Amino acid sequence: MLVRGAYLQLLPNPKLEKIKTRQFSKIVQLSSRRGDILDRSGQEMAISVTTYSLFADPKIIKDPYSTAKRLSRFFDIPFKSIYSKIKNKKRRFVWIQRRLDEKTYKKIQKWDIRGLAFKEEFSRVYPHTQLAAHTLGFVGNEQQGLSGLEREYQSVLSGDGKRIHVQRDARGRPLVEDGHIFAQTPEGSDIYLTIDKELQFWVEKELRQAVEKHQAKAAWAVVLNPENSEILSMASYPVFDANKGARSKGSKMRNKVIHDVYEVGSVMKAFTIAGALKHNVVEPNTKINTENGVFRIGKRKITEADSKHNFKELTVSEVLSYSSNVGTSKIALLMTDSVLYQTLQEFGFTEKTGVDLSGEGKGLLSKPPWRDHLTANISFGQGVAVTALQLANAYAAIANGGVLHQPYLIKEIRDIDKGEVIRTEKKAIRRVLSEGNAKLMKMMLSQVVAEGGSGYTARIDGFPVAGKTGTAQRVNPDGRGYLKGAYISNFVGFVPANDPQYVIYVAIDTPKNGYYATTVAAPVFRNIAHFALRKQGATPVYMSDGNIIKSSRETAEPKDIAVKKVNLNTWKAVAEPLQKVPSLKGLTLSEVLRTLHGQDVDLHIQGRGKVAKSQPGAGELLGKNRKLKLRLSE
Amino acid sequence: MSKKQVKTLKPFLSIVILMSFLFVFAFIKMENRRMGYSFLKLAKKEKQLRNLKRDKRVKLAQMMDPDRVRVLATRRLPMKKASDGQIIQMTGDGIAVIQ
Repeated sequence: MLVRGAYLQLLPNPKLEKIKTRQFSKIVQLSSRRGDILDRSGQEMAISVTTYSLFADPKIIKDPYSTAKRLSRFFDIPFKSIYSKIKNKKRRFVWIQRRLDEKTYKKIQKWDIRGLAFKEEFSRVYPHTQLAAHTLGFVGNEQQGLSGLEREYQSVLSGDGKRIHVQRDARGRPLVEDGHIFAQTPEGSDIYLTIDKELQFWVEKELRQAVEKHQAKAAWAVVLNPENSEILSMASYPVFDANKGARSKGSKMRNKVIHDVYEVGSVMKAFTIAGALKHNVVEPNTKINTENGVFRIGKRKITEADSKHNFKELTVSEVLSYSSNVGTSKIALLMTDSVLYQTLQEFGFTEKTGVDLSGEGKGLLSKPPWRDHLTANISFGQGVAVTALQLANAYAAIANGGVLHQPYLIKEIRDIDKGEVIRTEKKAIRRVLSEGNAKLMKMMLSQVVAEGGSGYTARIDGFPVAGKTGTAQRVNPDGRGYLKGAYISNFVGFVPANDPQYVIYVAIDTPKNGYYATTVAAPVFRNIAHFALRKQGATPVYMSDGNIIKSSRETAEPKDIAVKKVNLNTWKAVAEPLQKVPSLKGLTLSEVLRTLHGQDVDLHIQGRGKVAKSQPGAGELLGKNRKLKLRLSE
Repeated sequence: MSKKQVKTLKPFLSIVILMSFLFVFAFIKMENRRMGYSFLKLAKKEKQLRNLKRDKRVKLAQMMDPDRVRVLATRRLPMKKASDGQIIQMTGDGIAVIQ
């Protein structure tokens, strides 16, 4: 026996080894958790959580009828659909319900029904539902990215699963010395976006309000950092809930900022003029004969969009600020078609921007030679179609001093398992303008937003704004020409014009109550820019009577600026200063705050609930220290 | 102890040492298994806590949703959207600039 024992134990025996491996080994498959998507400040935009999927083994379910009844009652789904799944004893695996939360999982586990079991699965959650849904995209049932960044970065986010070979005991439990291998779920890399969540929300809110106000078909916007073309916000309206993903309407899922290629109208004039400056065709003060608003090219007529704009002569700078079609056409004809084409090509209108999202449009622009009327049309944004991102990026080049960058959405990728961080560096494509010409363009674009310019509704108190309006007719998708009464109202600009921090492009599709960009798109731009600057804490730089207040404590008047005398204290207490204590008895704290809103009162609160007593009492005068004590009781 | 006594004790001592060795070996093996199980249990607990942490992160993100914060601020608290000119920047030169 001893010899036999030694023989079995000590000498190698492949057959026995195989049996042993089969009996005592187990392969554990650890599927990886999809990496998170976070905004630029690390706030969650998409996150994967563990869920539990319920399945049944019909062969070992003792009483399929009562089990189906119980499950049907619990999940509120038809009895028949469950019973038909589990009554067939030949089947060994059927899904009952997928992706249940932990509470439900624990409840069902307590039933202790043989034949019902759970499989851990991950579920993708977009906590802000619709926020940046077009950019984030969504995943399918098997957690595969189907659109947006989820699809573009599928391999990075999904990570690699692990297969672990472990010994098991007689009861099938894994014999592990390092239990960590089960706790450490392999994870995909986390992606940090350049998107600012708060700004994204504000942009989406403004777009929604604009669509509602103007009964428009759609709206879209993009905000870039001109220094490196990182995308701070990219939004389209209508929106969809990323959690519902593929169940949403296809038209709602379109990311109009990069997918839609369309004529943008007068916002293109800036590039015609930039090209003319670059090639020394004109200077900002060169006078152009604008033919009293009507310019004939052969049989065709070029007219101004606004019939009141029947100017005889305008400088190049005025051509831009009054958005003169005739003036721009004449400049373009002076430039020649090939130079205009080269300029537009250099600004990136004939190629994809290279943003990290698929499905990007590259624009439509035929190669020269062009007939004169086509050259004229292209110079003011007709006969050339671009994407919103291309346009915003080209304006970013003007804003940053003349360098075109590749826009990007990914700030960094963090691989937690490997401890690696890959940061995106800014990528300059080419210089498109000299610094001097970029400066001239900035000044001229600032004039567009000045009093009397076409974009004056985009002005912001305290900050110089540069930008350009554009009201483009919508191309007829079913034939030649344009749709009657259908316009895309758009505005693109940057703030502050002297030191650009944000390039913002806004487009409103087919607005009904008015369609001029001045009244439709420019105010949306203004609101977005105002919020962005406020959020950044940018110090106002533009000083005028309207936006300066002088403190009453100052005795001497500053000589170099005009000052509107407003006592600062009036800002502290906007309402009529309170002298006597009002009756606050029985009010909740929020009601008290509402009543005293804007008042200069030093409020002291004790207790919880409603006001029981005040000191000084109701009707009594407030002391010099303006102290008001409130005792609250429930 | 005489040499003879030592000689008679030797086989006995050898057996005792061998037995002790086997006993210690078995004990260590068992202890290793036991620790493996408790480690596995703790690892599962750790995993559970990690999952819980992720759930809480989702809840926190949902609670901090900008739209939810806006609704709470305007409907439940006496707050309203900052209007034009309400924000004033102090430049430090005795001049306040409306934003």
